[in-house]
Amino acid sequence: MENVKNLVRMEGYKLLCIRKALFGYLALMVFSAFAIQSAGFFFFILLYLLTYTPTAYDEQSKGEYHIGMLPVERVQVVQAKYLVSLAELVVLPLLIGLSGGLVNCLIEIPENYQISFGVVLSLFFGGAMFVGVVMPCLLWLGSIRARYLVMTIYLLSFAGMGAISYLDNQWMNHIAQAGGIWLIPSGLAVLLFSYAVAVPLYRRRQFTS
Amino acid sequence: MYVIEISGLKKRFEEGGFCLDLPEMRVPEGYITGFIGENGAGKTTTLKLMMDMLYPDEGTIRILGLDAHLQGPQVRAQIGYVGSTPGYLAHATLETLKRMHAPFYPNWDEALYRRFCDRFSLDGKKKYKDLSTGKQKQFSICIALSHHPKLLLMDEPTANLDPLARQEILDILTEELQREGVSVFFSTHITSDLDKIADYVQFLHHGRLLIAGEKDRICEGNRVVKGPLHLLTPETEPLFVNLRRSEFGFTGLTGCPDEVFSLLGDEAVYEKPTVEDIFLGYTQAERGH
Repeated sequence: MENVKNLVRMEGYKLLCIRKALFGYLALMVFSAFAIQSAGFFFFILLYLLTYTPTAYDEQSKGEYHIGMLPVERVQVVQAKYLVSLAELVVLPLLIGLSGGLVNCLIEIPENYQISFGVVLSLFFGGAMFVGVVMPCLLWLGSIRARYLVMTIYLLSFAGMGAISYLDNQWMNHIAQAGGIWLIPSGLAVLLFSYAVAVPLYRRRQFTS
Repeated sequence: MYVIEISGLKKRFEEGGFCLDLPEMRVPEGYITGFIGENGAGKTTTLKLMMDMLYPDEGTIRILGLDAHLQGPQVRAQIGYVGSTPGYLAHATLETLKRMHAPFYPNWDEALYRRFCDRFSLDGKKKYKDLSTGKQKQFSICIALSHHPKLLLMDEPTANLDPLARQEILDILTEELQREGVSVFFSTHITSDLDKIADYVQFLHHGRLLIAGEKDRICEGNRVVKGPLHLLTPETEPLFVNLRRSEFGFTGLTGCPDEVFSLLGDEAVYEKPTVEDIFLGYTQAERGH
């Protein structure tokens, strides 16, 4: 467990390297939280940055060699990545929910644009789906070889969100109504399944130049 | 006692058609062993296999009595590794990198780390990417040695360094060996480094081990012979590993100096070879020169 904690800390240091960009998007996400659509938009940009960038940094600095020299199991590396992602998936939607609630208290927002608890749940579930698909690809192929795949997934998610919003701008609330609190265990189940896929893929990976 | 024992090791790379084939290789404990080979001979591949960054197709690697693949974390906990690509986060400061690295090692010695940093004049506030190649290498060595490893594995530690920085690294290796009894295994293609500090040498060529053993014994067992061309006869020529002819005479490396001396006598000149002479001689012979 100590090793996983240290690996999580390492991920934190990597994120600190992109703190300027992260804080920018984080501020935009928080300030745009008066409307569902814009909050969702910045949430997914931020999630993409948080998921892809540490791996990209690893690849750029050949960080896999640093991790490879440490006395850790491959499974612990994967555990650390998923724990960091889980923390991000909890914190970001909650931040959106809190700032949305605060904005609602200060100014009157039309009901259609209000950020409800359901939206927070939907964002968690959507984020879990995104991380669940992207993370095994990144761990298996590395950020350079997986970049087109990740970008395609990202753009498809974005286009999908845009198309659905065009048809139904309350879709996040509707998902939340349909799934309710079950969106949390469902999101966790997606992450757990994704983790189970990622572990053997990362164990199989060899670090060639 | 051996710190590294390799048996029946094979690793194939389909893309480049390269195959590392080491039926047996042993590295003795408590000595500095140089691993020499031309670019692409398989040195880095061998080191990555030891660190479990690559997996063997066949065979086993035992390090400090443990299986490098099955007991990877236990093995790596006792190794100080200086890779040709260390993989440190380029934008991080040295202090941050140390904070990232140190908690993984229960034996981490902060005082020792500070001492190395002082010795190399490394400033913890500087970013890794802003260091020169030599300083980056020195930092890697600080990190690798500060948890009191039993074995130090290094991939080309002196490559691309100026003579002063190179000498400083070689001095550190010798001192650590004397003080802590660390076994050192390092790959290089700078043969003069081996002449200076290696006790044992392993010659790798095209993925195969050509010669292995005690450096002094290997050098003693070979001679560079120079003489006039008429001394080369069908009887004497096969005694040379390689031969270079010029209008002034010949130069050749022989692995049986006594026999050559009995045939050529004082008419030829006999010199003790350097590691480079031996490496070049045997690799050229392999290539059929």
